[in-house]
Amino acid sequence: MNKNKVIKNILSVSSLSMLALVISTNVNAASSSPIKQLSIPVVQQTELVSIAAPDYKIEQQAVHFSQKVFPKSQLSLQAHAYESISDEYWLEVTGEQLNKGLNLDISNPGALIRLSAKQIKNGSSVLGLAIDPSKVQLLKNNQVLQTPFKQTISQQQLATANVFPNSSAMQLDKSMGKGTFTLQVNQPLNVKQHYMVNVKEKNSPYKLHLSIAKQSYLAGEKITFNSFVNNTANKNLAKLTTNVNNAYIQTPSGEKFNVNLQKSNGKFQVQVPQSNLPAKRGALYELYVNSQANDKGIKIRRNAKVAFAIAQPTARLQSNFSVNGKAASINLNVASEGRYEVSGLVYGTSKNGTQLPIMISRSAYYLQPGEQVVQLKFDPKILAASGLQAPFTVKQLRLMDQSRMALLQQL
Amino acid sequence: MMKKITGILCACMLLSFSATAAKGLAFIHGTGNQTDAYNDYWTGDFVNTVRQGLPDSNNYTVINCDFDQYMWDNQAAGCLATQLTAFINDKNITDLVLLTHSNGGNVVRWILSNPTWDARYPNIINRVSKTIALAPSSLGTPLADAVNQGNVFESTLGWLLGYGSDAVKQQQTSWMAYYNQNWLQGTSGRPALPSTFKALVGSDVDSAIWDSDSYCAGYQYQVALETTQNWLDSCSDGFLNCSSQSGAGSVWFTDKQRTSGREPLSHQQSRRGCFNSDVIIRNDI
Repeated sequence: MNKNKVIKNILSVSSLSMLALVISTNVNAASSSPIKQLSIPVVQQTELVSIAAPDYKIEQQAVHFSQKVFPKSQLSLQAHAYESISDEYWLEVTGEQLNKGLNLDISNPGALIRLSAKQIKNGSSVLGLAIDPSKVQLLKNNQVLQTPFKQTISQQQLATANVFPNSSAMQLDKSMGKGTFTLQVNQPLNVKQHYMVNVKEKNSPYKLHLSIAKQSYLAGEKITFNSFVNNTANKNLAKLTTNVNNAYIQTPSGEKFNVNLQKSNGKFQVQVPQSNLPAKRGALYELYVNSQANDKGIKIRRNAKVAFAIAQPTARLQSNFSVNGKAASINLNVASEGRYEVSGLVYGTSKNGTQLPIMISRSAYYLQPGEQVVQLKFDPKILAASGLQAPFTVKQLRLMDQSRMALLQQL
Repeated sequence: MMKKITGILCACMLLSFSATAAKGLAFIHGTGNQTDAYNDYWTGDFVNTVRQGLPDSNNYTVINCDFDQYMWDNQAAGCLATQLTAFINDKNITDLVLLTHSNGGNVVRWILSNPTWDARYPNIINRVSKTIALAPSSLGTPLADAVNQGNVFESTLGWLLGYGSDAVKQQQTSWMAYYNQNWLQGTSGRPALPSTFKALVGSDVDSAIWDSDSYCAGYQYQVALETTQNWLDSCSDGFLNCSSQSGAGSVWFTDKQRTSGREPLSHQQSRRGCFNSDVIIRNDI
């Protein structure tokens, strides 16, 4: 029986995908190397999309590269959860609001307040619109507080670090304590000019936790996340009841979509809206959550965000493969013209039968739409130097769309 | 007799190889669109001290690229690949040492981690023996998140963070987590980089007005960097947490372990050779 056909038959058990590709170094010859049974998980199949090739410069040559991996490497190329923890909040206000007086909730003594003039894209310059911190006063219960700030930082001082443009900041004296204060700017401001007000409460025990199950999704996939405010000074790290909780998603092109916060199985789920506006390659989506909670009469406000990517399914690894001693031949279904990389972790077998990693191999090609067969080439020098024997396996196979900087499959 | 001749031939070939092997050094700046990084980013004093560590001190290049762009952009990593390839070819470099500062470490990691992205990358990767990363922003910085809060800034004047450039977006903490997890090597749990990537970590900002050490690389910068500590951990260089600087590859040393007077290196100071750091780097080339 033709060996390639055997492999094809084994792999065709699944019409969806594969986890490990078993290869033999001498499969082309009349080899007796056994081919191991494969473990084949079911992976959700997604409808491929046809997208025009990007108009920016993309490498056209096929490129292959292998990197030695140490046998004891504990690599995990699978998706990871991500958690953002926030001890701050921010809001957008107008110059008119700042002149009239803006209520700010302070939940930790010594908070830092940063005021930044906002520049609208393609709008006029905001230079000169920064607020002079000596013209800022703080009130509590309608009484002006004397020397409420431990330190004030002017626009000129902040500008020397080139970090916060058009900004000034004030650090509250800890003696001011907590509660609701009114911040009022006595410098005449353009009533329509927008400002960002950022309250940073470093070392505050009150934290907003925003976690996301993974940071890479295919279009159409639901995003699962969790969000809560807790008091880390509490021994039980008790979660606080949130009075206000809203969220939105910002696309790479800047569009914002409100998110309906409904829990399912204890977690929030959201279907990310499609955006047709052009965005730069590799830019990410962002999920923002704004929360308010109370703890013994203290109002706590927090904002947090996490970034994630959404890939358009422009190509897919097919389930039938053939192999030889130097490379794996991988079938791709390509729906969109572009540059694709296949990569995998190549394992060999030690004398005592243990499978150990040898190298990460990658091969990239510029491909046209249609059924394509590409070679994932291995480095024979690394293979020989490893001292490991057949059977070899390729695990953690990945397909990347380099043209659109997207992770398409990771198995 | 034949054995002796063979031995002599082998020795000659080895000598010939070592004579043609050339070590080179590239200075790779951080965020910003540089056109004269020698003067504007590094300063001649720093470059001319560090390059003395080379067997041939003329085998160096100072990179000038637009690192306000995303690290993978043709004007960022593409530009870096163009200038490194030209340097390799012009000087026949076979052993390339990269010296990066801040986000320059991320642009280098992009090339080292994505060998098939550009046909020029493998030739560069195969020549890089090590990267000395001064205060690399490997895990991003909360300051980049703060800068991007609701703001759309178009100016790209900043040498440190820039004002809302794509490079600043990229260095937001959750953005870097995504790129590290999917596109970059060298962080925890990810494949190692193909060559040594070792970080010099800046751990503090010293801006006491009575301390003359604060004046190295500009006192006024120190005051502003101390302000930014509000967004950072107790261990930071005023721009990056130590955890970010230590987030990829290995830690070479933390400033106070080896600097003169055990002085800390702020983010500004780590690229200016303050407190004998230039000599320490020179001796490691």
